[in-house]
Amino acid sequence: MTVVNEPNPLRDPSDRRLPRVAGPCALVLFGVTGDLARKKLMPAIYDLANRGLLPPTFGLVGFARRDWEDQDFAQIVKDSVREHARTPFREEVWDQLSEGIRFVTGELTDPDSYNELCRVLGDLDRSRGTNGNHAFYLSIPPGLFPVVVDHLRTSGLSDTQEGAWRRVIIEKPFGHDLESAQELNRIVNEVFPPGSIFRIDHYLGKETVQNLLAVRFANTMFEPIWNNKYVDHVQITMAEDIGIGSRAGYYDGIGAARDVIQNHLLQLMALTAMEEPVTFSADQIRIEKEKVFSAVVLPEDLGAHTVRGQYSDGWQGGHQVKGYLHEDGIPKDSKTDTYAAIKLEIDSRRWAGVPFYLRTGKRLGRRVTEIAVIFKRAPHLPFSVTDTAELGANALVIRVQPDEGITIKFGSKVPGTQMEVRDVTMDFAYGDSFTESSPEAYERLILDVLLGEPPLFPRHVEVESSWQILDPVLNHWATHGNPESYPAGTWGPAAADEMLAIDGRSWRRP
Amino acid sequence: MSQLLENTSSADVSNAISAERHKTGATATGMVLTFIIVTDELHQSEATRAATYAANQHPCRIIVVIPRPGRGKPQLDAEIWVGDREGLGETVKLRLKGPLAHHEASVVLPLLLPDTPVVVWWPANAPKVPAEDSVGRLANRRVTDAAFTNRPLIALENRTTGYHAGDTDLAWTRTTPWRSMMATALDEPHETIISGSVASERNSVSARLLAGWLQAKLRVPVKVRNTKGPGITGVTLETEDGPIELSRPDGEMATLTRSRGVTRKIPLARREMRDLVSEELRRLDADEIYAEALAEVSAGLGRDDVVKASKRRKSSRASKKTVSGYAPMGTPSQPRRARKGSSLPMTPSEEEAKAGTSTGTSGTNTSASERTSPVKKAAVKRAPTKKVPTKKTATKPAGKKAPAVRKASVKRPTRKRATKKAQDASVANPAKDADNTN
Repeated sequence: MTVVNEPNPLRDPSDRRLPRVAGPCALVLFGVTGDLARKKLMPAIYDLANRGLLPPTFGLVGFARRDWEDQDFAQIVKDSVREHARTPFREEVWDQLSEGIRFVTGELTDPDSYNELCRVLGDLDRSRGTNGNHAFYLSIPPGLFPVVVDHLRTSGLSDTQEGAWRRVIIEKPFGHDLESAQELNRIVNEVFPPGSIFRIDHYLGKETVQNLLAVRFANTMFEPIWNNKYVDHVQITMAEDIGIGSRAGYYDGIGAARDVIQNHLLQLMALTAMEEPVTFSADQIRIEKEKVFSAVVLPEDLGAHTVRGQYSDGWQGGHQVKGYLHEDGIPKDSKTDTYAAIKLEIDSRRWAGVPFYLRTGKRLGRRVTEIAVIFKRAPHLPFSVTDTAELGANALVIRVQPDEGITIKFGSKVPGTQMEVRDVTMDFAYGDSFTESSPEAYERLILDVLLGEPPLFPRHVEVESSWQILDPVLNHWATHGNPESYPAGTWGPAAADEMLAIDGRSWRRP
Repeated sequence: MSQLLENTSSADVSNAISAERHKTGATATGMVLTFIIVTDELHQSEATRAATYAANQHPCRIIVVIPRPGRGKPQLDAEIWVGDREGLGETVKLRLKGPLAHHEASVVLPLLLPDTPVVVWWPANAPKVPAEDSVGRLANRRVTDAAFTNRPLIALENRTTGYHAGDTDLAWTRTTPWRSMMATALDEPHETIISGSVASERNSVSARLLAGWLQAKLRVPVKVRNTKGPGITGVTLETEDGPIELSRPDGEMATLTRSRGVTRKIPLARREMRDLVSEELRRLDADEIYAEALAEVSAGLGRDDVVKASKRRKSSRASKKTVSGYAPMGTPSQPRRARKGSSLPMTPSEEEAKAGTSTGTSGTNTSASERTSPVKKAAVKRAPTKKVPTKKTATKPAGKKAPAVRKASVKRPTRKRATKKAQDASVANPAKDADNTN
């Protein structure tokens, strides 16, 4: 008798009807009591199961300092699924999933707890057939990573058996500066090989972000103008209308730049600016992104070309809201930035002279994330000045969220006897053309982890290069003055407008 | 918002849609395809419902074409829905009366959305060669449903002989969850697979396609067995170390068992029409895997029930004439029925009753001139001697029963041989098995 080791004959790449289903495996969730686990991770796991993308053998193990039995934990999962899942609740799917749910009561620092975890996983391997494939999701504060990772090693949980895999999933923040990022990476790398470490940046799991690559590299009409000959500048915005809510403990001392620019905005910038990858493989895309990061230059006068702000009391969308310093748990003298804007340039033939303006903030006008590529004005206009008074610059805007889609802005003649040109927009809305409800970013990312396909996960080199870009700005801020305050519900501090005004530009109202 | 236009033209319909759109402030630019449904009054409302659901995922213009041939003047009646009920899409229901019923394409062509794919769906009976049908020719993708025709296995045979890239069948779509589960089962290490079988209710087209797919991919013989259903009830792959079995006796929950390893329960509910249609609209390029499965089925088909079909295939190849398989009710099945003497008197009337409805429905589907004449020709060419006596038995009982039976018994030896062969040989012979195991 011979065990077949060939590729599965029933899996044919041209068979697009068959979904990619993860192989037998168990997912261990550290930090099950957290918000993220309850609102995103558990529902995402159920949604995957409901879409038939998890193997029938799938096992889910919760680990926390609670005195729960398996059923108690299953109930918690069930509640969160009922409340937050994207797809309808189906009893038979749940029954099937819940059979593989286990709970381990334990302390993150207690070796015995890990031995218990070891036993539970071994039991799942035998009774359910998870075949020794285990993924560890560390949904815990980064300060605890070293402890957990170390225990995973000493208890033998991280040891790979023949033919099985071990993977570890970590969430941002990946450190708070270059040094801490390197330290974190060293710790995790000691136990898990680089290919087994999955850093989750949920923005990269979004359809629109992936579509950015499709738009750029699958079409002919955008790439020829995607350079400094036609592009005047690029604005990348991620605005939130909410305040820090209950995240005071995490947010204070971190701030908007570390929380958002370091990962999401720099990733978006890299995808916007990078050259065409040789293939669409994880490695090739990473190489192109790294080239962008290594070509980034900061402005010499950081004071003039970077801005940070902090929201103060104000009215937002008809509600009176507290300023940052009045939020619960925030020290009255906090210098944390809730708004950050920076100007970057990329020294390459394609982008020399084209500034990239990155901004993010909390309690801004509305919740929106977009990449706006603003084009140069036509070198010559054969119209009189008054004809084109209302004509702005052409723009191509990729709306990442909400209303995912693409807008193109250009001039058009106003109907009538006079030659008057005014801006109009042409719109592609994802929701109109593909209303097949897109999976949540976490669904996509968890599935990719279980399948072992890493194109959407940043590697440590990228993480470190983005800290290298941001560290000088953070250092400058730490030694120079305080964040400028802006009323909640507005588009940031006045200094941000000045920052663009000195370049003769202005922010687009997203 | 619904609008009724009687005795209208395509141009008026098109204008009415734009006007409605304008009122609601929406534009049609987001729509990704035109979805044509060619059907009859019997199936139109359910098909439209399924399509409307699918349109929620793939915004499209749905054009329901209902030919109602008959005497009288040609007339086009249209019903239009834009916005609200249809979500983002829009629906036009067209009733083609009189001679117009045979010129569907002329009505549909001006209503196709510019520069976007066209999908046509025949929810029940379909033309023998969908790609050569006048409406089918307009489409990038042609969706049929062999299981909902009057003679599913004959329809399946037609799918094979009339296959063109871009064809697909909902019976194939129904196998996706099974195929996915089987692929998952083989993701795990297993012994060499020797053979396989698919169990299903009688005359299941899906089971045959599933068997065809397994056979094509695994390169081992795969048989089809009959069970009480519902639908497909199980798939077994024999390995050197015992079977890998996925069984779903109740149409809801499946159990995956393997010789070594854990028995697992898997939800594998039968899917609704709307889900099938949505899946169909997801991809609009040629489905090569379906073609492969189809080819495998056709290689295994060709005896007993389909004995006529294979003969016909030869003759049609020779004459290069296409023959409709679903319309000539009765003929192909008569030898089989005749074998069981007792059921004989019942058969023809049953068949005729069916045939009556079938010509009614199928006639509306395609232009009658194209359709009926070859059918008749084929029927006559195929079995003139047989058809006549059996018909007679229906009208004149008892005494005339004998010839028909004799006729059948003359045929019997060859069929028996065929039976035996099928039992020994592990070659997939779906149609054959289907009719003997019952």
